[in-house]
Amino acid sequence: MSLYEKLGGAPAVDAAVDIFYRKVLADDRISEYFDGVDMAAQAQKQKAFLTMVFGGPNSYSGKDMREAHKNLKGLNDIHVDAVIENLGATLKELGVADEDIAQIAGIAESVRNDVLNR
Amino acid sequence: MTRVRMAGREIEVAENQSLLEAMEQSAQPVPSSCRAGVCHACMMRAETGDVPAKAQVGLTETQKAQNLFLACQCYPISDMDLSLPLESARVKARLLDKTRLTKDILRVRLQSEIDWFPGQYTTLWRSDTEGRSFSIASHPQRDGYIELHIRKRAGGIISEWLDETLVNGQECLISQPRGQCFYTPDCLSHPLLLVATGTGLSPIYGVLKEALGNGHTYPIYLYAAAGDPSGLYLVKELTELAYTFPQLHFRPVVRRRAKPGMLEGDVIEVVSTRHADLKDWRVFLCGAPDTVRKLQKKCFLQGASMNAILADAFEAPANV
Repeated sequence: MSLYEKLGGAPAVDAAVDIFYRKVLADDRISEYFDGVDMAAQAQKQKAFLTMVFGGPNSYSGKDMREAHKNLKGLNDIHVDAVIENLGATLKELGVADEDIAQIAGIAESVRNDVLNR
Repeated sequence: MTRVRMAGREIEVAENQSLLEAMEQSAQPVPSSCRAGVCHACMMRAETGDVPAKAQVGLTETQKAQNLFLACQCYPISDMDLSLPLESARVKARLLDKTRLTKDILRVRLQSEIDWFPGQYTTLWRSDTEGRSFSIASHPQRDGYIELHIRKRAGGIISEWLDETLVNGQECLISQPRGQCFYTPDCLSHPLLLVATGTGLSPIYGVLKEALGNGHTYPIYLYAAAGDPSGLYLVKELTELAYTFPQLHFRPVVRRRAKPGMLEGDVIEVVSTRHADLKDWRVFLCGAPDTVRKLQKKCFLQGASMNAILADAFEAPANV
């Protein structure tokens, strides 16, 4: 069984996206990047991101990550750390096991250089 | 094997072939990206035929109600007529009535053959190239006409034309109604928060009447906001509705010169203070873009699920 299936598939992503997005908006380190965005469209992108890090069926590629973040001024490792922290806290809240959280954080980590365009 | 039709062409879909694959094979252009049901780029609409449940996984209730689905997840179970959701043909409409609700808000009623959900918007065309979008306050069957609330602006290419030139009985063109801001039956067992600024009350009024028409018994809180009391409209009608339907709580909100029964202050503050916990609520927000976006964020942070907030920001050019 894949990690994605183990976590509960698409319904698990649906359950996670609200919690994750709320944490992101409440995090002063990164919230300003989300000012003025179309929130519904942003939630859809976050679902694609969560599906990817859960190891689900997705073609959200490194190129997409690069494209999506290249115009965000001043983006650095602190911001990526914040997102991965919020992701971990979300999964913890949903009762996901620590070793699974570590695996998911690892997948999120793998796109760090794409996000930071380096 | 099933057959699907779009834009006058018929395409065969083989067993175990997705609709998206079949469309691509026949060089029928459908936008697509992830092919996994996540990105929603390949969303289409079924005009006729059965939509497989799997093709609607992850869609909102309002999208499902419009027979939208994802082509990459669709293995057709019957013949279908299809369109892309952005295709928007224009149809004829006839002016039935126009009435001034305040010194600058006009209520316009139009007769047309089209169908819609109260709260969706249509574009009203003065010429081939000059059109503006307005949200619908009425129900296609219960009312039978399209009702729009339109703020008249000096130099407004549509509002002035409507007010001064178009006469009752005259025809014009409107677009097929679109938009996600409408009531669906899954709202029935949830409290509702409805917030309108200015003519945002047009779609909100449509949503409210649809909720009451569906027998919505959970609490409904409606806030209609304006600068001062002279900018409010439908106050008498809504007050009477709230008297008839005890589940409806209606409060006008003004920035200044509040009269008895009205709240005074910034509508974002008023609403977020009075509704600190919006978990399980369904929220509808319509009107000025800045207010709608700030309220959307507030409501989300105060517990409303992203999917449960339907927001329609009136992005209007100055010359409406």
